[in-house]
Amino acid sequence: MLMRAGLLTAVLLAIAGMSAPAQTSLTGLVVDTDGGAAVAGASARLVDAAGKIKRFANTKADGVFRLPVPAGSDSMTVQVAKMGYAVAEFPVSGLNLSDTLRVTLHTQAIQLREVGVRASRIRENGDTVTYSVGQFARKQDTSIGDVMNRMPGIEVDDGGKVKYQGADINKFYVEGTDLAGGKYGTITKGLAADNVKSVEVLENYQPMQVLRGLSFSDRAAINLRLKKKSRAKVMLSGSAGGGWGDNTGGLYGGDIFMMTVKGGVQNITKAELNNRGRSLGGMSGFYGSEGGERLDAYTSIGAIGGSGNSRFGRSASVSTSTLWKNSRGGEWRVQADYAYNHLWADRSNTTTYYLENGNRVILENRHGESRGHTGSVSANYELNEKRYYLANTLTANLSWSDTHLDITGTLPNSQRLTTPDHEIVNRLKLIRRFGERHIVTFNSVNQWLLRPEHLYVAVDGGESHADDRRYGSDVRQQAFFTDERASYGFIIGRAVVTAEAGVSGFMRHLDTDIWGNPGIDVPDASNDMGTDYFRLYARPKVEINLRRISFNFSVPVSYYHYWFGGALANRNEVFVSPRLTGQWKPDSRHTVNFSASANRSPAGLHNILCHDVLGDYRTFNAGADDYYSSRGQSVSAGWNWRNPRRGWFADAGLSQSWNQSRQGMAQTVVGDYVINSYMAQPSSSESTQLYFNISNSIDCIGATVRLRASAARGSGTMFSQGEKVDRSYTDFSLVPSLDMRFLPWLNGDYSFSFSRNMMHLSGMSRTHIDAYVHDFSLTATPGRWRFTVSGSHSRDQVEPHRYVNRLDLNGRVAFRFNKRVEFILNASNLLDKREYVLRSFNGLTSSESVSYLRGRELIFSIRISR
Amino acid sequence: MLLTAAMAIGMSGAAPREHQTATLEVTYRYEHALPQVDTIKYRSDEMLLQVAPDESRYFSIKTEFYDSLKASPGGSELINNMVMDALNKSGGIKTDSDGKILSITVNKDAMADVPRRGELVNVYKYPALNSMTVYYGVSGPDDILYTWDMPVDEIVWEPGDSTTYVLGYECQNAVADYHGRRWVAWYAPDIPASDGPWQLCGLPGLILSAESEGGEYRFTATAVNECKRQIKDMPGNHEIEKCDRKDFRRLEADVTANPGKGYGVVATNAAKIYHDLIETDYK
Repeated sequence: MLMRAGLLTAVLLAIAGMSAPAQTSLTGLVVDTDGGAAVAGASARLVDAAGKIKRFANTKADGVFRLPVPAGSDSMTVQVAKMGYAVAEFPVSGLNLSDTLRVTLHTQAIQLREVGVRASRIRENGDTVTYSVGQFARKQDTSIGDVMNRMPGIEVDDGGKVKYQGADINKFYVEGTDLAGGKYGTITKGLAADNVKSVEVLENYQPMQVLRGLSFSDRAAINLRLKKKSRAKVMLSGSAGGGWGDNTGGLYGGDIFMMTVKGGVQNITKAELNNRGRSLGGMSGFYGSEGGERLDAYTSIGAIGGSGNSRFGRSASVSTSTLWKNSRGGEWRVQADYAYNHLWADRSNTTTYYLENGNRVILENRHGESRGHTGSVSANYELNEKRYYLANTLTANLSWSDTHLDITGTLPNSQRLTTPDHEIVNRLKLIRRFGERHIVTFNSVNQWLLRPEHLYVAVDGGESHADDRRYGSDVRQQAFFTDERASYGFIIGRAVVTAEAGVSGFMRHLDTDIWGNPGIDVPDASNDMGTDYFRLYARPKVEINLRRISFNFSVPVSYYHYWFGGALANRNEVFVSPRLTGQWKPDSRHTVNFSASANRSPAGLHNILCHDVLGDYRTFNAGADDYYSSRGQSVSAGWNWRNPRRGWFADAGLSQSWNQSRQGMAQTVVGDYVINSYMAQPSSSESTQLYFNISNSIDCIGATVRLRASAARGSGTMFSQGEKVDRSYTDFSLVPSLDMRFLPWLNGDYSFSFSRNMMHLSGMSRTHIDAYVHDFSLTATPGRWRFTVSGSHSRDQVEPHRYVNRLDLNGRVAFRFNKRVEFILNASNLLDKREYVLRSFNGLTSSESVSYLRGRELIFSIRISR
Repeated sequence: MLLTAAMAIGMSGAAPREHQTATLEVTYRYEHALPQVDTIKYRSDEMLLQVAPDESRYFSIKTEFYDSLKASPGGSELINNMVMDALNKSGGIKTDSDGKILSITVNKDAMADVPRRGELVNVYKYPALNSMTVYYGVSGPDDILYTWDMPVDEIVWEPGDSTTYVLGYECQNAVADYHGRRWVAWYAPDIPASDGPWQLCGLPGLILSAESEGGEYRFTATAVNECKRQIKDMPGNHEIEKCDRKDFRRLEADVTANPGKGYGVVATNAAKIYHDLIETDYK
């Protein structure tokens, strides 16, 4: 009987042991080394191998803690800590959890980082990275864009467009307000840096409150925080100057910038003018606009050529943007821009067409001159609330351009092209959230487009003028586009399922006419046709947002019915284009984006022509004689990493795309004339692109270093003289740069750029073009003076084993009279270089061009700011 | 006599007590959504947390300065003179030919440098006693602070796995449901003070950032400094009234919907409130 009782007891104990909880508690007593008094308020922590706290407990007045220790914690450590004491540590594997752990804390002076005393140049808090402007600015910076370009992770291009970690930003705010809409270049290029306290980058920013938490965004937004003194006043700055150029005569230039962000009415206005060949205005919105068609030009005599100091002329522009906030939180924004440019440039071109039976070379000396007016007016209303989003924008873009091109050489001629280009478009977006799970969206786009083109060509037939010819082309395109769509989304757990459907219509009329004697027989010189379509589409989409990973999968399906006005038979088409995108954030430092898509794209209506259209004085476009759609597939992956505390930012990306078409682009050379057309031949192309950028801010020496590298390769088929030609290319570029403050009064920057472009055509040897460019500047700022020397050295390949070197040198002296006034003397092209040579590949051609430059120039100006 | 003594303690000033010397001072930016605006528009104030070994105090720097100035000899008069000067300079006071005031317009920019109160809150924590004493005021003509005591260990935190950096300190996250709101806090294990802004505490590191779900209330540390400063009583001669926490929140909700009530102005309809109080469990 005793044996049975003992056995029963043993069994009961075993069952009790099996059902005992897997977690136990560690009891501890924390005492002070001085006198052994109990220490209250100490924290006991269970820390894993990565240093993360998994469990914790605090001591009470009696100094006792009870810390939960789950099973499997042998690799962890118990830490006991309190302010004013050194941390005590005990590996769990060395503890007997059934005993009370006695912890003696030893006093130790507090050791804090100096974060309250000196802020680092870059700080982060969750998804917000903050750059301190004062610690990146240099005395020579004139705008906030100049300073932002020095911040690692941020790039600002010449137009003022901003990228963060290699991707375009999706909003630009000043003190939380989107004052400029998509045209924030006015601010990055005009706002003086000393008005700005910090630049905040809001990562993964979703601008529409109604979608926050539902729709992930892989883009960042920028918010400028102004200094207190600037928030309260009208920020005003401007300059005016005049001078002389060796081959340009009298010079002048000036600008004025005004911005106010206080109160319910906010405004930015900028005006500038110059006669130094710097084109102005024409600023389009930097954010992509949803929906809409465009009319591409048929006629192009090429831009007048040149850029930077190879252009001459005068320009003026004014732009203004005003924002009103109403009491409901809605915002009205009205923007108006106008620019006038009268520019000219001179260039010599040698264009080589690669043909199997021998290359064809065309020599040209070109003088190009253009006059253009561009204007834009838009009115926008936006209401952005947690449950409701409404935005309506009405925009009118009007431009007139008149270009003259005088050519001597193989085919001497004079061309004049007039190309007005007008658009009026209204975009409406409405999103409403019902309850916690339902979202309804409505989008509408209505657009009117007009694009007439008039080309006039005069060919000089020689001394007798018997062979003089006058000919030209008139083109008129007019179109109306409408797109209305609605979607309904509902939330199931962490997924948002959206069903979208819509209708759109496009009505376009095309009139073309070639008149006069173009020099070759043109079978029928006119088109009078309409190309319209009606589209019905649906786009089901699923978006899943898990803790660290998000997916977005959509399968747009479109049905088109086309009317070709007799040019082709009317037809129906169905397109399906599935797309998957995703984002994975393994931790707060890394983000990986990926996407894959397959699509069948509609044919471009632009290429459907009954008869030839004159492109320029020796080029005809025969278009496509049938409807050719194309197929494409693409995959891409991107990675970015940042450690703002240590000033590191890096991003990289890889993409591969394939394209198959039932048509091939063909180029036929007849004498001195080129005929471009599309042939019913299957053709294919593919391309790969790879890029890597890394930058670091080294606080202790006030330096920023960057490395940008990119590579691209591709292959495809083209048709030349009726024969198929395989073409492949490979391009590399590498650009390291350094910006550094050597001494408190001496700073400089340097960048080096290497690029190689290689092309190979079947049946011909491989060719490549290399280019090397060094850019540098050095600025000394003793007292109120500022001396700057800057320049560039470039080495361009013009033939195998033959390079052309060019050195540009500029100088600047400035004197700050007081806080508001500065005098500046600017000298450009100190070495008085008058020519620049460039070589490039384009399809089945290569060209070498010599541009003629502005000579040495000296300008004195005054800059005033408030 | 006992009743008189008790009333005296209740009616004027807080009970004096011995305070410790703070060795750590943390400045926070406190932001809360304006209750009568349906989007999130923040009002902010700068708050200070003083941490001593077994005591801490949390208060508004602006309110502390204003109350200290007002309590000092001639302080009230000085404040009034500063207000009048600012109004005069901005042209906010219009008088007739006899000097009689016809109208007063308050210009925000002119008043920017005039001392005024910020948040009306003081929190004293005594972790060794598992107790905290909270003082709160509401806007109105009466200078009354309402007070109650609470245990320190009422907040139960769930530790998270994420890390981020605040002020250069690596922080880990934790989540807790507290008095009707869900709070996400980021605390720095490298600063082993089990404390934080307002009533938040109890984590194995100083809380440097905390936000309520939805973003209506948030605290962000802007500086952490060593110091050697005596923790003090609240300055000024406030009337102190002991009450229940939830009763106070009901009073506060009423004043928020009817801001003029304390001044005898009763609106026909209470204002629509889009963002609730920092504690919502009073309903």
